[in-house]
Amino acid sequence: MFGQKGLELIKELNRTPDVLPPFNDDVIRQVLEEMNALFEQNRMDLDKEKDANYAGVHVRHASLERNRRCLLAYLYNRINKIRQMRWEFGSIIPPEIKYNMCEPEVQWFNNYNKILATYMRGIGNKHGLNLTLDRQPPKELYIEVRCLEDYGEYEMDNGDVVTLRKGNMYLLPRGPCEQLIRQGILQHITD
Amino acid sequence: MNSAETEFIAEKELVSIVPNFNYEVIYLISGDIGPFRAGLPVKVPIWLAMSLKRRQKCRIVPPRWMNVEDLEEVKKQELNERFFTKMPSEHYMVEAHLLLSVAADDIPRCEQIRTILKDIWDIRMSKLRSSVDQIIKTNAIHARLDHLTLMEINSIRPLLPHALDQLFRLQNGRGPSQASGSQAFTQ
Amino acid sequence: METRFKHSYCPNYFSLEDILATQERVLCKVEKSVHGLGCLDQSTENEDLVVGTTLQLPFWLAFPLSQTRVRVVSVELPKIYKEAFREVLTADASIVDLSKLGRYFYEFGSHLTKLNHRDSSAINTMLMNAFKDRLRVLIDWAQNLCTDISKVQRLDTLEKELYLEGFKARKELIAWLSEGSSKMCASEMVVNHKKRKRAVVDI
Repeated sequence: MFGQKGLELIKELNRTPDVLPPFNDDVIRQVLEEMNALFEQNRMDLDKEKDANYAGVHVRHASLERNRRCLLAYLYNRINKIRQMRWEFGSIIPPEIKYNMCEPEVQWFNNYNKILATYMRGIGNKHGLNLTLDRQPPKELYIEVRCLEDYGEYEMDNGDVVTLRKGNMYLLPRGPCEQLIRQGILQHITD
Repeated sequence: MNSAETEFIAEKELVSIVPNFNYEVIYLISGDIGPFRAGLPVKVPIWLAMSLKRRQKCRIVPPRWMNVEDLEEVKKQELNERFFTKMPSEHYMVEAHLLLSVAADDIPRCEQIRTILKDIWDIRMSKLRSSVDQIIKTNAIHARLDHLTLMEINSIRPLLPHALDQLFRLQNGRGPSQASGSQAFTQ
Repeated sequence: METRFKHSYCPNYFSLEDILATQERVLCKVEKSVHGLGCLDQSTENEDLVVGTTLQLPFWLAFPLSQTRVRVVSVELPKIYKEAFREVLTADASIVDLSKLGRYFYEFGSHLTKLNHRDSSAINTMLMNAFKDRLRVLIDWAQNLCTDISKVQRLDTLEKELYLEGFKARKELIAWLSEGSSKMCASEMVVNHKKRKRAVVDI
């Protein structure tokens, strides 16, 4: 049955909706090979102008369309996940995840980063506004946090540098911390 | 919209406080606040009241409706009416939640108030649930529910609008197909 | 707790669920011989697909073949969308275990109505009414934070998505009612990613 390999890609994405699996070069190559074979056979059949196999052309054409849909959906859904990562992880993706992305996807992410940064810089009459902060309405200026991992030196907006060590608690301004909390490096403590 | 955002909107409501410090008028985009004179009541937004209270710079005056007698009256009315009655404040639940958490010592009989409010909330939620049930059962094209507060409306988001979207999708169906136009969508 | 820009599910060309839903199989009868594609029918050694053969084909293939000018195959409705079973669902839809009938009951049913079968409108009505009946039970479960796995497993994929949305929203509301909303959390993606990292390291 045609289209099985294409379906494999879709099933792979559907199986793990919250994780980006490694880019499946192999299966994609197999799908493209199948598509080429189908296309060639169709071309030969139509060259012969043998009306008897009009049905066969339909079958192969439907399979080509199906394979194309699977490939495009695979790429599109991966790109969507990568875009979401910009808002979750920030502008730098952890190396383990980057390993699962193919080169064009990494380039896409960098371009998206650039576009987003340019857009954010231009908000408010060139004053700039970081849209990725304050995903939730802020409650107070300073928050208490506990450091979950050794992070090292971290520079605040006002120039102060604080060394973040695992296990220590800090009272820090909300803005700079938010990104680190989302990345799981700091933990927000509420009484 | 989630609870945090509803809370944010509700925090703009004004509440009366009695500061223990002096300060001149604060000019904000949303309006002017103050001047602050120690011992004299002044109206400020809830977010500011909470911040000041936490720093022990004021005493919060409970809103006019936040007392046991008035709330008992509201609860009785809510029980008797089939539909929703008008609440004493558009954000009664959020205001109560915030003020009771920060200024429990300024509000008399706060535990009782908490209980009555929870009862009112439960009554209204169950009315809401049966209304939603009715809406789905009777194929209503539109429904009108008066006097619902934002927090209560939020409790059925996003489930109800999404569910009705799916119902609408199934209702329209895919329709009879046109010969080749829809082929791309079935492969 | 994160701001979720979640849109209601509406299948489009790239929708994974829709692709999987159109993979469901239907029984087809060949009406025009297809030269050289006997491989589609795994029960015969024939090189061609002979007229009169009946075989299972995925819907994405069966549909265009049934709509050609000179029809290549004719499609038969699957048993669960036929009259007998429709009666069962009309009687009481909320007790049926839809996950056993194929995981995309509503989606696939919607696609089948495109076949212009004489039962199409009946199927449409059945799908709608079944969905409505089950929806009321579903909303009830989500609002009451029902965590009974056996109940949730009887749901179709579409219903499961709705249920999970409702469940999450409800949980968030209850958390707010008891604590308040000031706590910031690590994003879900990050948490899941760290869990996987730890699992790999443990192995």
